[in-house]
Amino acid sequence: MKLLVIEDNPTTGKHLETGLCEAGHEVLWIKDGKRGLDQALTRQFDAIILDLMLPELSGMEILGKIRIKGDRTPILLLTALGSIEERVAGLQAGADDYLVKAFAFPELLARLESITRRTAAPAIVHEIGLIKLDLSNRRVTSGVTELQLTPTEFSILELLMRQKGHVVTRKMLCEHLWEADWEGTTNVIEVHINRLRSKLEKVREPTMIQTVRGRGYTLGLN
Amino acid sequence: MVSTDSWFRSLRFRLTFWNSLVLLILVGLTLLGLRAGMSLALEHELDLLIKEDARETAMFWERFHATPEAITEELRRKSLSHEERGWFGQIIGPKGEVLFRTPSTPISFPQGALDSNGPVSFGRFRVVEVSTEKLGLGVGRVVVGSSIDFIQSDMDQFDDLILVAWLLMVIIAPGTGYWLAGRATRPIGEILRTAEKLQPGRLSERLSLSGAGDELDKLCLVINSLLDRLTTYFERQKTFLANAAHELRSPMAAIRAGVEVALHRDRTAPEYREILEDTAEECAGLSMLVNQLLLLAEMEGKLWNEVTPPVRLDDLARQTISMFQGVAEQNQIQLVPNLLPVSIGVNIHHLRPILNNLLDNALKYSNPGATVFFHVGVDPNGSDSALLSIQDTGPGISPDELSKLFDRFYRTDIARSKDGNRTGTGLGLSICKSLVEGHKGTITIESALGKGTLVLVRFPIATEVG
Repeated sequence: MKLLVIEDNPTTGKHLETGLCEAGHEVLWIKDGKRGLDQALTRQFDAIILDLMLPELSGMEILGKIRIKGDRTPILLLTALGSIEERVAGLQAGADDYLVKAFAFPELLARLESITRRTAAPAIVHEIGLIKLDLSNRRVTSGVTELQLTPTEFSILELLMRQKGHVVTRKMLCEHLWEADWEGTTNVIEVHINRLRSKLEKVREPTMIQTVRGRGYTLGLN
Repeated sequence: MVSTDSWFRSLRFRLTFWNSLVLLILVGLTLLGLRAGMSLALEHELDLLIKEDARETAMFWERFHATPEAITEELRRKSLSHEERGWFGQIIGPKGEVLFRTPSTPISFPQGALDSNGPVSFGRFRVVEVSTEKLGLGVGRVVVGSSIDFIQSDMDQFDDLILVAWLLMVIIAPGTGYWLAGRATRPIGEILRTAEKLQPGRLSERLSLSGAGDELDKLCLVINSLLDRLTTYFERQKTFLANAAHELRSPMAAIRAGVEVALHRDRTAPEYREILEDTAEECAGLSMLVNQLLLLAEMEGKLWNEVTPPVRLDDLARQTISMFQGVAEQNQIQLVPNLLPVSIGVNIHHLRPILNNLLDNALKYSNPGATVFFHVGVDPNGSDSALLSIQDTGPGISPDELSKLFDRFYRTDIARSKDGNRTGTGLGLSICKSLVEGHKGTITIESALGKGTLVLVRFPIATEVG
């Protein structure tokens, strides 16, 4: 994807540029609002990652100016202001989604994917290793054996398979399962992950859920 | 700032000015009324005198009409003895002819009868006429007059007195008024001076009471208690800020130590990986803390005024239970829900952390084999509120700890020992409290050691639209 990143913080900007490039995207990183707006209006991007607090021209102003031109390029807001009013204001001004800083990088990738994927229909069947997950009948099989999963376990596996090769954070899993994140020390995901793991082990499935310390989980081959 | 240039706008000046003005006008009017009354009284007195004189003269004439010399002599005597009054008189015969006339009679005075009986004014004179009828002399008339000049001179003297009295008032009234107003408003000046010295960081000064128990004392009391509350609030904020900084410091220290050690010498890739993973973990903790601090700042002491569409508390509770069901099973705690439909007008992003935090606490502090009851429904003690109750059969909380439970960063001994190193922030319950109260709800915790804890949250029921 061709991405425009408008972010004034040099460290954040640098890491965004590197991370997005490594994820296979073409990135143009602009450090100030004015030039950012120029680029957004003159060139075609698949998505714009827009910081809200910028020198000269604020993110909200840029957002307004892009949308008033009728430009519907997907825009993901990055904001340090996390209050509900501010998030609502961003979405009402025409942003497609927002991420509150500090976010985990996999979340940024997942959100980018979801705001740019609007037209393409998500896959019905996911496969990795021997596991086959069918969303149409909500069945999971490992080779010929059918796995008996609870709805929670099914949803966790579904997200992990959809994001195969990528890290899935606890926050992403929480939001996928219960529509909202749980910001507490109690790991409400871990117990389900453990059960899912033991069910996979039972059928000697070569695929396993790996814990990525400090970040989340990912599916990998044993 | 207390400005001295607008002195005429001061309360003291205005009090004095209006009070004196009203007083001087009232006293002036009173004195004028007094003067008019006095003038009338003197005139009336004079009228009585000349009536008497006229009657006397008439009687004298009736008696001595035969000896005109005696009458002339009597009139001369009278006009002489009443000279300073400008006395004069004339006696008119039945045919209208002037029989006698004192020389003091004004030349312009008509020779003849008046047409009226009562005392009338004639120029600078009061004149009265009486009729007499005796011994077949026919109807005669006696006219007696007296100058009003002496009244005028009396009144002039009185006017001088009045003027002096009034001028004294002009000096005394504003003077004493200004002094009294100064006395009355002195406490206000003190309040101003003390208030000017107050700074947000230095609120130790208090206004002194006069002890009179008047309105100003009451005002001082109100201001002092406001200062007390502000001081408490600022102290709390200061402690909170310091605590927050401390809480931020330990993950920061861990990150810094990790990074500096990593950079100290070249390392293998797995070593770098481990340090970065540590850092990511600490960052996640930092993020959580910062988000909680922001949530507190967003809701603390605030009322959520935006119109919020009603949400089904029981539906949200179902989600919370689904979220924690696994944890409960893992810890062998039986989670018993009883969810009855009820709607409340609470922002969903604020309601979720409340439910999650409370259930998380109940599960965290329950021992294996315990039961947690999770109830949602209409409050049986008041049908206009929704009740959420979470009851655990955990170890309970001591009364001492119970009172501090909602304090920010407060952790019970059990919380500290259970959480171990990856401890909670100690903000969960204070966030719950400010979120609940921000949505016009109440939260209470009852607990008995060894028996368990009961958390009750009440919200006003939303009136369904449409």
